[in-house]
Amino acid sequence: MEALRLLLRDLWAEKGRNALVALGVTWGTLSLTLLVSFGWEFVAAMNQVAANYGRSILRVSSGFTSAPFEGLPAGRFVELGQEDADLIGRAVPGLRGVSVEHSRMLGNPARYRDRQLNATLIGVEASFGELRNFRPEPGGRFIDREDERLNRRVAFLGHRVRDHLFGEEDALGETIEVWGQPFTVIGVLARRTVLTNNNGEEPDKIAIPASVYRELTGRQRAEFLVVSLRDPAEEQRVERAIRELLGGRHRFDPADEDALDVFSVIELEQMIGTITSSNRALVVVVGLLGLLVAAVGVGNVIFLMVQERSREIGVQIAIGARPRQVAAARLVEGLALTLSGGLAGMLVAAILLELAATIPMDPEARAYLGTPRVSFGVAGAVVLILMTVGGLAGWLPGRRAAALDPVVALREE
Amino acid sequence: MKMIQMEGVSKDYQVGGAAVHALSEVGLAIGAGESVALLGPSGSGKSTLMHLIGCLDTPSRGRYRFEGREVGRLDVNALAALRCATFGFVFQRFHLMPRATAWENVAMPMRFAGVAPAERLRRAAALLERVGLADRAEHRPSELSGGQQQRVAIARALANQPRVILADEPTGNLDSVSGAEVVALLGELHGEGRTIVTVTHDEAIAARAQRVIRLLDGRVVADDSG
Ligand SMILES: Nc1ncnc2c1ncn2[C@@H]1O[C@H](COP(=O)(O)OP(=O)(O)OP(=O)(O)O)[C@@H](O)[C@H]1O
Ligand SMILES: [Mg+2]
Repeated sequence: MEALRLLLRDLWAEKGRNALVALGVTWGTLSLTLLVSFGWEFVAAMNQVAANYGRSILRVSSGFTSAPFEGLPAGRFVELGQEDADLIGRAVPGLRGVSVEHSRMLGNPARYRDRQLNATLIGVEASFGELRNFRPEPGGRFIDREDERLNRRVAFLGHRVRDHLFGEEDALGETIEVWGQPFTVIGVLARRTVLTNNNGEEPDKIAIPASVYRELTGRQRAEFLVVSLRDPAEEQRVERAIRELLGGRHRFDPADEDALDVFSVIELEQMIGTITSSNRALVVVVGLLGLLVAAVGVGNVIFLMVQERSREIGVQIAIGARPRQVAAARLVEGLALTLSGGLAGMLVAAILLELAATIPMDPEARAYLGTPRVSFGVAGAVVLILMTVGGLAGWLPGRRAAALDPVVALREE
Repeated sequence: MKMIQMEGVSKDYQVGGAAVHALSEVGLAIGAGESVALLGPSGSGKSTLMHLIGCLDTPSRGRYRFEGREVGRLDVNALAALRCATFGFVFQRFHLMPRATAWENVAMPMRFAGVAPAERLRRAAALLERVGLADRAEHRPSELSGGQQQRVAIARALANQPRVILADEPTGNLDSVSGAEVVALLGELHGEGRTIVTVTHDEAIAARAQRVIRLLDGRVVADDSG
C-alpha cells in the first residue's frame, strides 16, 4: 500500500514528464494497434473476397475451332455438356471438383403468389456449391446429391430474387413457380462480394439441379464447366489436359486455342495474394519502425529521469537500502508508467475501432476494407515490448546509481 | 573489545591520477554508549572517518572491526544490512527524499528493513511525535524549515532503532535556535544509551560530548575524554 502510494507520489511529482512518457506509450500502442488492425483486416477482407468466388477456378466454355482438323472444317462450334464435365472429373487428376453450369439469362418467369420476376436461371451440380462457395443464409442449404438423384424440383435463390419475390417473408420451404413448374425453395445465397461475375450477378440468379434444368428447358448445352484445382500451380497442366481430353472427344486440335475458352481466376488470385502479402510486409515494417521510435523515446525519457535521481538513490543506499531494492523500485516505476500508458492506448484504440465500425459505408467498400477490431494480441505485444523497454530504462540506471559509492552521492552538491 | 575498533586505518582517494590521503593510520576505539565528537578544520577527514565508522565505505588499508566483525570483508548487501539495522545517519544537508512526506521519509528505512506497513506507520508517527513534528507528518521537505527537516532526518535515523547515531555537522545549515534543539535531541538519544558520533567544527558543540577526537590532515591529533 505504502509502496504504491510512494510510487504514485513519485509519478505525480514528475507529472509533466511522466505524462509525456505515458502519452508516448499510449500513442505508440494506439497507432500500432490501429495500423495493424486496419492493415490485417484489409488483407483478411481481400482474401475473403477472393475466397468468395471459390478457390483456383478455371471456367471452361465453348468456342469455335479456328483450323481444320482430321478432315473436319474450321469454324465448328464445340458444344459442351454434362458428359464433358463427367469426363474431366474422371480423367484429370489434381482437381477439387467439376460442375456443369447451364445458364439462361432472363426470360425465365418466376412467380410467388402475386409477385413475379424474370430471373437468370442456372442449372448446376451439387458440387457447385462448394466449388463456387455458394453459402446459404442460416437455415438453408445448397442443392445436394439427393436432389440430383431424385430429380427434385428445388431452387436456391439469389438474395435479390428472394427480396423481390418474398420481401420480408421467409422463403425457405415455400413453393415458387419457375417456367410454370413448382419448385421448393431450399436456400438463399448469403450476401457477399465476389471478384467477378458471369451472365449477370449472383444475387439475381435462381439455381436448380442441372438435370432438372435440362429436363425443363430441353437444352443440353452447358454454358460453363466449372473446374477447381487443388494446386493453383498446376493451372497449365490441367488446362492442357482438359484441351487434350475434350479435343479427343469433340475432335479438335488441342493446340487450337479458340476451340475452348478457358477463363482463369488464378492470376487474379495470385495478384491479390501479392497485394496482400506486400501489404502485410508494409504493415510489419512500418509497425516495427513505429515501435522502435516509441521504444527509443519512452526508454530515453525514463532513463534520464532515473539518472537525475542518482543522488536520491545514493542517499537511500546510505541509509540502508540494498542496491537490488532500489533498482527494483525503479523497475516497477518504469513498468507501471508504460503499462498505464499502454492500457490507455488499447482502450482508445478499441473505442476508435468501435466507432469506425458504426460509420455507414457502401457494403462493397466494407467488404474490401473489412471491419477491423482491436487485435489484443498485437496491442498486448506492443505494450509488453514498451514495458520491457520502460522497465529496463528504469532498472539499468537505477542499478547503476545504486552500485555507485554512496559517499560520492552524499558529497555531491 | 570495544564496539568500534580501528587499527591503522587509512583512506586514499584517487583524484586525477594523484592519491589524496583523506585518513592516515587512524587507530580508534569507541565503546557502546559513548558520546563522541569528531572535531577538526575543513578537509581534515572528519566526514571520511564518519563514513568509515558507518560502513558507508571501507578502509584502503588497516582494519576496522564493528562488534568484532571485519567490515572490510563484508559485501555490498551485508554492508547495507548492517547500516540499515545498526546505524542512523544525520547529514548536514538533511538529504530527505524531496517528493515524500515527512512520515514517508521516516518510514523509508523500515521499508528497507522489511518492517510490516502497519508497523511502519505506527512507528513513524511515534517518531515524529518524539521530535515534535506530529502535526507535520503530511508535509513535504520543501514545506518544512531547516530545523524541522533536520528533526525529520533524526526521526528517520531512529527508524530501525539503531545502536549508533552518526551525525555529520547536523547543525551546519541551521540557525542557532534550531541547532540547539537538534543538539538537545542528540543529547537525549545519548541519555537513552545510544552511541553518538557527532562531526563538527564547533568547539561549543564538541564540548557537550563525553569525548572529543581532534583530526588534522587525516590524523588523530588528540583524543580527550572530558
Ligand atoms: N570521494 C572523494 N574523492 C576525492 N577526494 C575526497 C573524497 N572524499 C573526501 N576527499 C578528500 O579527503 C579529504 C578529507 O575530506 P573530508 O570530507 O573527510 O573532510 P572534512 O573534515 O569532512 O571537511 P569538511 O569540514 O569541509 O566537511 C579532503 O581533502 C577531501 O577533498
Ligand atoms: Mg565533512
